[in-house]
Amino acid sequence: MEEWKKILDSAIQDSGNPDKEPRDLGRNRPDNPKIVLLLEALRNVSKKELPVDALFPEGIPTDEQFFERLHRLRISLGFGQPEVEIVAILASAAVEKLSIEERSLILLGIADDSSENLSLRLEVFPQLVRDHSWPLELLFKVFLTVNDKKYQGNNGYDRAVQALAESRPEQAFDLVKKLITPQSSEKNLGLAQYLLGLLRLNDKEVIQQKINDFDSHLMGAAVVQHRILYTRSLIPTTWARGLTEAVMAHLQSVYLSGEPEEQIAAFIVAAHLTWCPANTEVIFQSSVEWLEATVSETLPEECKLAVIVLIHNASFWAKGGYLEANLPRLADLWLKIIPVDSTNLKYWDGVDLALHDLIEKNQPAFQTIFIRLAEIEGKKLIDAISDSAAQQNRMLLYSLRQRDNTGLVQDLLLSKHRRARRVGVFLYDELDTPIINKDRLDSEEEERLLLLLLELRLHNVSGLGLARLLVSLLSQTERCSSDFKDELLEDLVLLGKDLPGTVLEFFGSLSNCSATLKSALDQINEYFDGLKASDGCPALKMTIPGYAKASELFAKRFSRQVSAAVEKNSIFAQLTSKMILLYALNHSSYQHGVLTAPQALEQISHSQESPRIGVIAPESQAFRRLIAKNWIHRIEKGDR
Amino acid sequence: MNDDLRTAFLTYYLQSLKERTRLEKGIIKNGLDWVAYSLGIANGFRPIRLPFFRNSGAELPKAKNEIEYGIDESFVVEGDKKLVIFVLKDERLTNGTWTNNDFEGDLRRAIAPDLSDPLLKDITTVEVVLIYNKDEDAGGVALFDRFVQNAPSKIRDVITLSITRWNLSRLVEQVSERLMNPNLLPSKYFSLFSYICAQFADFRHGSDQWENQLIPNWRAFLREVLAERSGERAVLMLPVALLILRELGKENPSSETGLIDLTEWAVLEAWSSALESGEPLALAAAHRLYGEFYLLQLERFYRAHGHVISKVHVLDQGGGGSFGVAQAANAIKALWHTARVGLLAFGYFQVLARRTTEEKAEHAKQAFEWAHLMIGLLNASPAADRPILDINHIELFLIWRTLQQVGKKADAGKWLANLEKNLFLRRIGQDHLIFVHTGLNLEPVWEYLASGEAPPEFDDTSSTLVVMLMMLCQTMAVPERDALLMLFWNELVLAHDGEGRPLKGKTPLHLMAWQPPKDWSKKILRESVGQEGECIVLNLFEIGSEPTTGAEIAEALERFVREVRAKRETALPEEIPASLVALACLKHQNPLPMEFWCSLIYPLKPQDDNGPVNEKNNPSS
Repeated sequence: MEEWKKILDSAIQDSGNPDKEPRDLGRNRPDNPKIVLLLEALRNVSKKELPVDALFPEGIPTDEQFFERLHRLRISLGFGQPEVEIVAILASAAVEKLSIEERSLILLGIADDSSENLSLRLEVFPQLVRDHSWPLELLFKVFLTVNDKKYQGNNGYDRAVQALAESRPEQAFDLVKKLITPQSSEKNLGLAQYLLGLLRLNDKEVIQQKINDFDSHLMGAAVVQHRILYTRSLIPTTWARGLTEAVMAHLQSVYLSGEPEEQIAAFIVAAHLTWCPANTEVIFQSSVEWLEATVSETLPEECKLAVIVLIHNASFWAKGGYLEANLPRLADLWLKIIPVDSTNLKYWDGVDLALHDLIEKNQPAFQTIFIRLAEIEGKKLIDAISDSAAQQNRMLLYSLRQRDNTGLVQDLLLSKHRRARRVGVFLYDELDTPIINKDRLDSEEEERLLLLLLELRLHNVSGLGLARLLVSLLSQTERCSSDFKDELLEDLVLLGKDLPGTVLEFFGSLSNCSATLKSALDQINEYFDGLKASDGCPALKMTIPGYAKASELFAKRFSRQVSAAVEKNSIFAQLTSKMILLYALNHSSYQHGVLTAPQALEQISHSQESPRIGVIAPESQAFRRLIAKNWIHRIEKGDR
Repeated sequence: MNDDLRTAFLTYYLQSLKERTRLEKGIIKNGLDWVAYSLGIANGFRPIRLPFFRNSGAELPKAKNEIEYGIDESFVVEGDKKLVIFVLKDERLTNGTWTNNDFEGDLRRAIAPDLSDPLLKDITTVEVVLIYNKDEDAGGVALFDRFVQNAPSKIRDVITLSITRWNLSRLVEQVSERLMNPNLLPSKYFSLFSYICAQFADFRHGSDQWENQLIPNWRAFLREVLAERSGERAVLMLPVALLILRELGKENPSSETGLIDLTEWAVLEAWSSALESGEPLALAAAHRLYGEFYLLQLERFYRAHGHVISKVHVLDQGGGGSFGVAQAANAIKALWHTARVGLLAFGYFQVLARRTTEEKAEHAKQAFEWAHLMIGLLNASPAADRPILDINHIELFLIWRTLQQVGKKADAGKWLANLEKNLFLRRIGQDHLIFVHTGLNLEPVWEYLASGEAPPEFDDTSSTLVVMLMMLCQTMAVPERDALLMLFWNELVLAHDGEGRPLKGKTPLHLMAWQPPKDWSKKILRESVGQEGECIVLNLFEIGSEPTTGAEIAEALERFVREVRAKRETALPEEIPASLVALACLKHQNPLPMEFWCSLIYPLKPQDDNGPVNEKNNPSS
């Protein structure tokens, strides 16, 4: 008997008894001569010569027993790549003996993730793909399942994809077509992209021909091409440009004549392709022209998002040249699609990123878009850029903090648009903006100042920030009506009562500069004198049954919420692990046989003044906001 | 509470005592002898002779059957060198009683004491004190003075003899000065009352301990005292007990409001007991306890502190960090005060005597003062406009009545409008504000506010409070009334916003009214009858025919009242002051019968319709 047969026979016999642990012939690998010899022989002999019957003496099963038997054999042979290949060759030989239906069952078994030997199944997958012809539907099903279950990282799976592309390119392309639809998942498009890359379509005409084959799946194909263009390593730049031109032309024609779903997909891809590293200025200009003619505020939401993504990418990559020069033009595209009125977080993530990139490259374009966005979609804009949103949505705010945005914030605060004022109040607070210039205030009509005053009543602005704004408005009391003065005085008094700590100190330092402020301070002091006089009053000493317990419960809940928020938002807490010392107020550690000196624990605390009036008179505060809202509404309607 | 009130009620009590503590037909009659004995002990005297055997615990001192020789009680003092002899009389000292009631005989016997007892061997001075707990006249005093002048100044030529008298005033003075402690009460109550005194001094008014420990003890004490049906004397003992509590608990910062709380329970128990006994003197004593003790106590309290608590936000300061929880606690506290001011104003007219024109004018003036204080409280404290439970309709009624009583209709209207606005904001549920809970128990409210989630027990879907407020609107000027009624209907009942759109997650309120059972007036002073009677569910309009004007709502409410009056007994009790019934409802968390306000709003006689609401319209006044 030939040597390889002896080795294989021994392994088959050794692994044949399910009750007996197989020996690991390959345990002395990496360079086990027996395995090397065996693999070499198997690669060269006909499948018919392989001892499949010895491996499956009771016939070839089509269920999990098939893989179980192979698994045992692999244990006997060893766990290296050559052993895997040996098993795969034997598996392929066994499959050859089966009917078409039986083969299908084996292939479907590969995608059974409930099996304990999934790894082995995936490892024999490439050999089965390479050696046998499979129905497209079956291949599609198995690849889709395996792909969807995130086995892409598995070596066997990757090799199966490669095997398909190499051994059956036509079928691989058909599979790509099936994988690519406008509804395809990212993972499936990724697989399609991978396959396309492996197909090495490097002839422009061939590619054009191939794309045309996609018919209704054109947009998906274009997405794939777009991805390829971004990862230029897969396709030479020279033909990528040609490809883009062809794709763009096709997309534009589909947009004009396709079904609504196709139109949307075509637009999205076209917007994506407008800029990419492989493009030329000519392609860019023609694409932008087409977009300019196409975009409007009635554009579907997905298409609008594509425009935002385009601006984000273009701003990000713009480093001089035609791209940077054309940023205002792209910004105009954005202006044309407002409002988006989207609740899609992806869109607002894109907005944050696009604005962040735009502000870096073109401040005027940024300012124009930002103000317009604030006017039309203020609340959503705040949500998108605020620190309280998802962590990735902090880019713009970060950029804004690095710059002097006084002009922008002033424009927003004094805007006639309510949403813009709201964004202004938000930014004023977040960016710690200086007070509004007197000259700027002087130039505004009283109505605009009143709108600002009312707007401030609707939002929670930090005490000192609000105090500074109100004080800056004091400079206008002489030229404004007594009504405005009264309203301002009311706000000053309320603020002083609400936050008597920092705010009163601030007011006190300025009391000589305005009679209105002095009057406010007098009222505030009288108020607190009244409260002080009640100290020790027996009428106030009673309590309410259940109150103590409820306060305790509330305090616990509040404390837990604060702790959770701190842990969530603290970078320090995220970088370090939490450990609770069981005893004592000093700590030390014993590591690598060394005991460190004891160290005292340090306490870190932060305190903040809490507004009073919201607790004391929540109804009147709510009513005040309601009144302010109505008043603003009336002013905006021209009925002050 | 000031000294004259204290003196008055000590006088009432001491005056009511018989000479001896005794058991009569199974009823304890507290006696002057116990007070005199306690005074002796309080003065540091060592008792030599007592008219009774002292017993421990709840047992009554047992009277001795022995010859007294005029000496009721004797004590030694000053290192056994002085003998003090008490001659007790529960009679007036007059010309007639001097001999008829044996003043002279007893004194003559008392100035010749038997000093043979070895205990008295060192005595150098004997002081005979005539103690009587009634008034005297000039004749009686003159006879006493002559007796003293003619009596020997020495016994056995070596022992100095002195004779003095403690009339009622002096006795009151002595008690007030030295005996304001549980010893003043009969020994039977010493243990429980001492415990109550300790709790009163220790627990904060309104705390869980207060409600769960002190109040049950206090009510048990009241019942024990009054259960013996000793009539007037038992009732008169209650203010004395309260005065002792006040004296011993004055270090407790919350003792003033706490004493008001305990007084209220005492008033209710006393009235209940007096009505049950049918004794005119007991009823008069209960009347006095309510009018002269409780109401004057309230008057003095608010005269002293009203100007402080009517300063802006003074009542709203508690628990700044606990938001909704503090807001609810402040509301309950503020409503406690508004209810007391309301009861004061309500009770003032009903209970306190108005004999002369000047007195009547003075009372009217004071009613205005209380109304102004009420307005001050409402203006100063947002919490006063924040009913937490449906049962808080009682406090709201008292606010309205205080204003209405003196014709402050405009203020009442503004208050109602403000209340509607606040309730609407709470109906929306904005800013963690919650609407009015229908139950009597605050527990679900606390849980809701503390946890942020409504427990299953929390319910805000029904209301008698809103029905009452809508009826109160009836006294406003028609245009304002109609406008406000529409707001009540749309915003509170239907839960629509200003644009007529339903509020998210809100359903229309179930409007309800409580009709008391027939025998409610007999029970209400002692317990809640809220679970008796009937709860009327109001469907003021047919489905699909919502009102379009306030006038329609006003008419529908009036129709409802007429229907109830026609088919149910609605009269308020005549034998109990209506303000006292309101107090009882407040204390027992019993809904107020709607006739309280209906009688003022919907006069029984049609011709009085739209007439001014005043005292004469009120059958309960």
